[in-house]
Amino acid sequence: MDYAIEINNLSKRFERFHLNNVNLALPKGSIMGFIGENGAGKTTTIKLMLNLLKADLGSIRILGLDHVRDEKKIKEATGVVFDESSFHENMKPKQISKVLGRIYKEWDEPLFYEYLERFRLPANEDIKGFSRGMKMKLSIAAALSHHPKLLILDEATSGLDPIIRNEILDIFREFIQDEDHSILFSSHITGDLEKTADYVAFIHEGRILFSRSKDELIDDYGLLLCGSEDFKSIDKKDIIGYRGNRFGYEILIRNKDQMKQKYKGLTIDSVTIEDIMLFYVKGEESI
Amino acid sequence: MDIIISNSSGKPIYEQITSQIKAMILNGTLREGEALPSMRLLAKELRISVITTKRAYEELERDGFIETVTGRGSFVARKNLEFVREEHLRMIEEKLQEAVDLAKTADISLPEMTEMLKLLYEGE
Amino acid sequence: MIGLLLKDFYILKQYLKTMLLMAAFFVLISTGLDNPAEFISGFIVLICVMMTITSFSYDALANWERYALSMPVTRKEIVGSKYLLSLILCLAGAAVSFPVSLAVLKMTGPVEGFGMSEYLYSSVALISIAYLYIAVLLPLIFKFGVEKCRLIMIAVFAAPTAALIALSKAGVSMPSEASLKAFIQLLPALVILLNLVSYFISVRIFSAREI
Repeated sequence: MDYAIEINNLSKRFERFHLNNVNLALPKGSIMGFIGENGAGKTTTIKLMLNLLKADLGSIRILGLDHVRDEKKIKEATGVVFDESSFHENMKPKQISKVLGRIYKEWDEPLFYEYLERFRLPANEDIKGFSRGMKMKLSIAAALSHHPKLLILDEATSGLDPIIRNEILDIFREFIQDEDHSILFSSHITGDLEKTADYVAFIHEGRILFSRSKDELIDDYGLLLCGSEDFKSIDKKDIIGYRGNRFGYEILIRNKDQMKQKYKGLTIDSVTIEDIMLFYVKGEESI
Repeated sequence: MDIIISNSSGKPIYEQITSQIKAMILNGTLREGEALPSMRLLAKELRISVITTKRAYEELERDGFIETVTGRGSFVARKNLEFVREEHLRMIEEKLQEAVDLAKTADISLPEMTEMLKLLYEGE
Repeated sequence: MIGLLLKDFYILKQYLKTMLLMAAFFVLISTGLDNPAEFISGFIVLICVMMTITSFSYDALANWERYALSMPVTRKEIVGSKYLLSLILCLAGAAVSFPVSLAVLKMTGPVEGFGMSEYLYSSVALISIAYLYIAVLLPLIFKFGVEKCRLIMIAVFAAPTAALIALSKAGVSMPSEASLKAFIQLLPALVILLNLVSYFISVRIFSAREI
């Protein structure tokens, strides 16, 4: 098993949205950031993986197993964190531990309490009184305490302050020290991805636009800067997306080294993942 | 062992890692047979992707500086004198190139440069 | 499934306290009534039914369903735990109402024409009807969600009552006491069977649902 997640030709049609031919592969031992605008299909893809929704077409293998036939086995080894706390407001962490202990074969209560202490979460208080960040950390503690091999997080860090987000990213890095562990996390906070992801998959309007190693991405893409006159002489094929203002243009290009040769004299800046996302999305509108 | 990564240096991160480790090996900070931190640990501490550290280690191995044994980790390779010399030559060439580029910009002639080099080499 | 039951017990604990207070209040009121025992039984069993439905509401509030399904819990187990919960609550309700009614009876004195056997029969009838209510309601909740079912809940409760009133107004004679008693003896078995059928229907509904 080289891949923690293998999705092939996944499609599902809704009334107003169509997930179209999604292909995704997460190599074992790595972190993949799954980015896209709100409504692009990140959550849908994750729900399909977890069999909350049924696919029209395509196959999904998780940890080398079929996602429907071996559903229970997969879920024993997978920790999931959603964007909002899934625990009842009038429950306490110690009660949650008792409940999850009956659900997961490998529930490790001492480990859970260790996480509670580390995250400074009171074991004996109603969740009702927890802040959003605390609830999220609780969900993560729960996800980690049954010794999963795969962590799936769906917008789990949205709405959290940078300090907590960094704490969580540190936990990811810790988790991934074991080569058998993998993480898929969807987010529209591209900054978090820049810091942690090994791979980035970008989904837009139900289709995967690219899925590559983050380093390759940053090396490959660039931002070409030029004035209005020069803009006219730029090869349309090279423009993935652009943004113009009164004083010039910014153009997203690929094959940065090649482009540096082709457009000598023009500046090509390094690009962030956020830029790539922006220009891909805006680009479709302006061209 | 210290490794400093700069995001604004323009030099790709994996290259920063390889040059720093190479320097440490060459000046003896890292001795033969010494174990390097695992790729994963390095990635975690530096807060970068494992793919980057992997690439750095692969390059170091390709250039003969380290040896990676599956399941055991990466270790500083036995120093091959010939090859250490080669590496030193490469580093000097790099620095000389810098000086030459600067000289050309500042309109300083080759004779002037040679003179300077002679003075520096022959000592204070 | 035990885990899910445990979860329901934890979350219903607080709700239970509120209900007990209300129950205590109504028990007091019932002392002024003609037939307190019947009233108390009915009321306590009603609480138990409501608690089952409330557990669904709490789940919906916490968005628990999608989380539960991300764990090694099958849809069958989720459905099963709710049926088991309702059964346990109904039986518990019955078990509690018996001594409570007795106590009230002791306080208020015996009722005309309503002895122990009458009380037993009416208790069994009430619990069975409550459990029947569950059998009808749960598949609907699994299909439409608890919020949409609120109106349906009232309808399901009111319809038979209205029908009975209409029937008696129309002059259709009530069955004799003897045949009623015979029917009540069969009722528990019938209701359990209906719940089994309901369970299978719910499993099918819930297995097909997209979350």
